[in-house]
Amino acid sequence: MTPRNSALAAVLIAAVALSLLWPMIPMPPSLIDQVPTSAQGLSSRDLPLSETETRWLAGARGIKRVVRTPSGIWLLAVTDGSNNRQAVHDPAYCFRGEGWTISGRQTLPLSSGHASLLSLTKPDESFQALAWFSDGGPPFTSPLEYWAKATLRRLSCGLSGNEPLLFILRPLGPPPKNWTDLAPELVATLTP
Amino acid sequence: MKSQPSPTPWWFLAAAAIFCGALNAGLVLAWARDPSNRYGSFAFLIWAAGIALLAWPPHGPAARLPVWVASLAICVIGQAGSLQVLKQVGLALLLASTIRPLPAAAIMLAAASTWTPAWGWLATHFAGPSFDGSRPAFGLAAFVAARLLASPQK
Repeated sequence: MTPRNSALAAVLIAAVALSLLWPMIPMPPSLIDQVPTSAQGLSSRDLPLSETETRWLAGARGIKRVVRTPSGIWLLAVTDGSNNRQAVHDPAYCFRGEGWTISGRQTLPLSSGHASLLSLTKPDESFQALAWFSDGGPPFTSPLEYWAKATLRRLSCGLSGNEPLLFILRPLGPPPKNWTDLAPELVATLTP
Repeated sequence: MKSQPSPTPWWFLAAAAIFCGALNAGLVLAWARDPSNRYGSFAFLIWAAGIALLAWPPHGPAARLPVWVASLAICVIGQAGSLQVLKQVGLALLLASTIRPLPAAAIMLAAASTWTPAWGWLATHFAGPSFDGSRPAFGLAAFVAARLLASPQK
């Protein structure tokens, strides 16, 4: 074997070894266990995930929770892609995949960070949902920022920060009249 | 006396293609399960056939060995960081690098976007889900353009 071929073989072996071993490096625990379940004015009840939801998560962790706050009753979905980053998408992309049309998308300022207000319609129904990512810092809405943070976390073995979680909140009762006023308090209450 | 150029290590290209292909195996699921990636597999077949047609007969691209190693590195970083798009870029760069001239390779590299889930995401973001059906047409157009550029070289 020529020296060049030996070097190339070493490169291949290193590539295979790194690809197999890197994802096995233990990472710090996820924030999903710290999502508040009760607090002053907040109570909640977990719902079981459906078979379809479990299949879509494919190893990622998810929470489906009915949340009661002073401003109403809500359905909260939280996705943690620590074990399967591909389970976390741009929320608009997920809803479109389920057949919803995004008729509006608005970025709402919070006391620190931002959340997205999505207006979703089908021919005979419509609703609005609040979506945001959080890694323990200010909430954000950009999927690109999510990808960058989640990738950097894996490459740095968790040193760069926590795995961002995706939060989607929709009202179970009548739609709120003023999301802009409600969003900061809701996000602050429900985000660890 | 002029020294003989080293023979192209085709075995390395083949092994790297198998490795990068294996790291991208999740694409098959994305194409099968995600409605906005419905035409991704068809676009991939068009793209891969285009690469095979344009790269044949093999040119002896020993000078592109660094690109092959770089493609491998990109795939490994994508795997370590769990960023699928990097793995797709690595595979596309590896295979497109077998084409000459460079502009034809660049066109086929850009055309690789037609089989990626990123196309579906951008389509749903900016153009609507029906834009997904345009993948094969863009792939074919890119192949024709690359073929026109590659023709005088053969």
